[in-house]
Amino acid sequence: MSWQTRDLRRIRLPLIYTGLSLAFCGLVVGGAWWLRQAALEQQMQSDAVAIEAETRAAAAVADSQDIATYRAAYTSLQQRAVIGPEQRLPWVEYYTALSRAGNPADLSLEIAPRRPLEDPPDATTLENLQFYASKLTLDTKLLHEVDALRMLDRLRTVQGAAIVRQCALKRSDGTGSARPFLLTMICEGDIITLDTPPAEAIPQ
Amino acid sequence: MAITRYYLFVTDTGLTLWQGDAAHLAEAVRFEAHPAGVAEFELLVASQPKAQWHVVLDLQEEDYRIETVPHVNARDRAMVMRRRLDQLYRESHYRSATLQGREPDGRRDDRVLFAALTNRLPLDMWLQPLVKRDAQLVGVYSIALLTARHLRKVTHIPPRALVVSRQAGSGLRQSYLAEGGLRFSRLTVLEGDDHEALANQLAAEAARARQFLASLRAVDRTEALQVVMLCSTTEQAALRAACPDTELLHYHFMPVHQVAHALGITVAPEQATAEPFWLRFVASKRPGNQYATADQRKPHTAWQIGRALRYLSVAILVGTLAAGAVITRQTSALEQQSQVNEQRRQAAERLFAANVPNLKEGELTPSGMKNAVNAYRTLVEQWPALEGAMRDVATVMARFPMAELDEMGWLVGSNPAELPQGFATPGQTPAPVPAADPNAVDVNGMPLAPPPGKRYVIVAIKARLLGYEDRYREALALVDQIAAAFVLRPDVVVEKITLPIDIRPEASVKLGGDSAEQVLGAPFSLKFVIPLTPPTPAEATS
Repeated sequence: MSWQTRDLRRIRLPLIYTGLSLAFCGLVVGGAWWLRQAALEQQMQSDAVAIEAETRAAAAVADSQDIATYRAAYTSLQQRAVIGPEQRLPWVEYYTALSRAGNPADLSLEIAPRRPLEDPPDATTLENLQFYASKLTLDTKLLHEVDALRMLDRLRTVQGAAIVRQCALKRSDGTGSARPFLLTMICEGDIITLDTPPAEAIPQ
Repeated sequence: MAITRYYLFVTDTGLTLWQGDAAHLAEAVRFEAHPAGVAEFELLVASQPKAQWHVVLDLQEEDYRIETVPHVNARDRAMVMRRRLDQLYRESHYRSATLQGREPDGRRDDRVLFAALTNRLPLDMWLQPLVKRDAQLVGVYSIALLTARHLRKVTHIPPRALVVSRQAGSGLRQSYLAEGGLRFSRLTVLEGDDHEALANQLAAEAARARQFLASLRAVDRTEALQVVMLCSTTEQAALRAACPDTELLHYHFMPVHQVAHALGITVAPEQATAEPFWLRFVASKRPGNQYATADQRKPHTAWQIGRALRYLSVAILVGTLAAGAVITRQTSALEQQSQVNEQRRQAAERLFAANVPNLKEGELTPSGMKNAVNAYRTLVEQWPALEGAMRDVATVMARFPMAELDEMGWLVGSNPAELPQGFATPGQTPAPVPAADPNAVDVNGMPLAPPPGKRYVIVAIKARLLGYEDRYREALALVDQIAAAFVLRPDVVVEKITLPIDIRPEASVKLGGDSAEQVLGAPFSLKFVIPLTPPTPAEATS
């Protein structure tokens, strides 16, 4: 049997019915599926929003119960000048007190300009606060390792907060100098503050 | 819309038209095989453009051949049969090949019955009006081929038998069935209608057939031929009496209605001729087409395709509605879920608002305050101190009084491969922090890619083993001991930076000479890395 194109006229109507059925099917199923996907997207979005709101509310409930504790700690940090603009005078006083005492034999202190801290803890939940750091360099000449520990221990009592990132201790023969020393120590760290970022410059 | 079906019985002398459903099929009109009869038939065909036509024929000039062909797959078998039909019946349009089983031994070839109408005119006369009117020809069936294919299922008929049937208008059809297939078939004109004439003709034809079969060695010379005559119940006894069995011919007179019943067809007990039975069989069982050509069947094939497409359209519509309903239900459920989520959000917002005091510009919420305090504690209060490392170094070095410490470096960093200032060997570049496999470790077991937020305390020392200037073997062993002593915790990794003498094959060794540096003791340097465990959320908030 040789079927030719003109033989299609024999099944023209059924072909049209089938084509219309397929088109109708595509329209109905496609449209319904599109609506379903939109509803699904909206449902997922609303679910995420609800979960976020619930988490925030649960945190707020929990935090409202501990607020007294945290407020005290927060106030303490404010009083120690950890929160707010960096106070450098206590560090200058720390330096002058040590220098005047003559122990260590020699001390130099350098504080670099303040910058945003590169590796802060989770900064997403600090609301309008941001961690800042000012590089602190201590170069000292000491008689004994205990002096180094004592000096670093005193660093913690200075008003403010600092972390020491690295230290290098080296045996050195300074017995012949005016103020004898046997050890040199160079430490680098950061003075840490939590402060509100300055308002960004408005583009011209 | 009901389909009108007509059943045509074609003989050499004319055509009878049967009408009705399968159980009540009845002869409606007869057309003689001459131009006037054909013209009348053409008028009928013209008046029934939508009708479906089934043709059963019983013609003289029909040829049969039993042949064997190799047993191959269905596609190849169809090709082989088509080619053989072309060779056997090149001139005939009406031909068919029927598989009748396989040879019992040898290659077990297929046994095929090839058949054709050697004179197409008696059939063409009636089919041309149908083709001209584009009528739906469902199929053309031969009484002989129907007998061969279906009567073997009747258990009352012996397996090897000459089946004789009468058809009104054609005559006496004799078909020899053996081994499940047709061996030969022929049609003779009926000489008379009374029992005596029929019995005489039957006896004569049976004897002739037996002689023919014996010449073909289809029956043994002494074997009795079983002759099955299809007749009515009323003439059964008379024919039995008129045809006594002989040594070589055994007669069985079987009512047509009994054979029909065995095949699931109903005919009247007094039915003597076989064509009503076969017409009803075709109407009821719809057997496969035998002789109609594909082109003749094209209108019916198109109708079948069209019907299938209509069913498909209906199925698509039903499926569309079902799928649409299911998807709509899912959409509705999702929308309800969105509403529930919105209610959850509103409730959570109310709870949040109830637990957050009114804040002035720039003030922190309780959560913000807590987070600020915790972040400060994590960063500053839990920051490692130099004192701990100095204590560890002093403890270890105290166990080795021959070792004198010259220099110590301490560093808090995120890259365990880093070295404190002053400890990098000449030409050594700081190890990069690879970002690839997070589980990869270096040769010392330190992770190549530190996880984000992970910190390490890295301590390096430079020392000398006093009195071990020329005792390199002992000095190296002692450095190993000191290095092992720095493994204060299982996760501490110790690395030897420099040794009293570098005996690695890739390094150069220079001993003696003026340039030899006079150093008191055997110098070495070590590095140990202590991973810092990040505080858990509970620790951070405590």
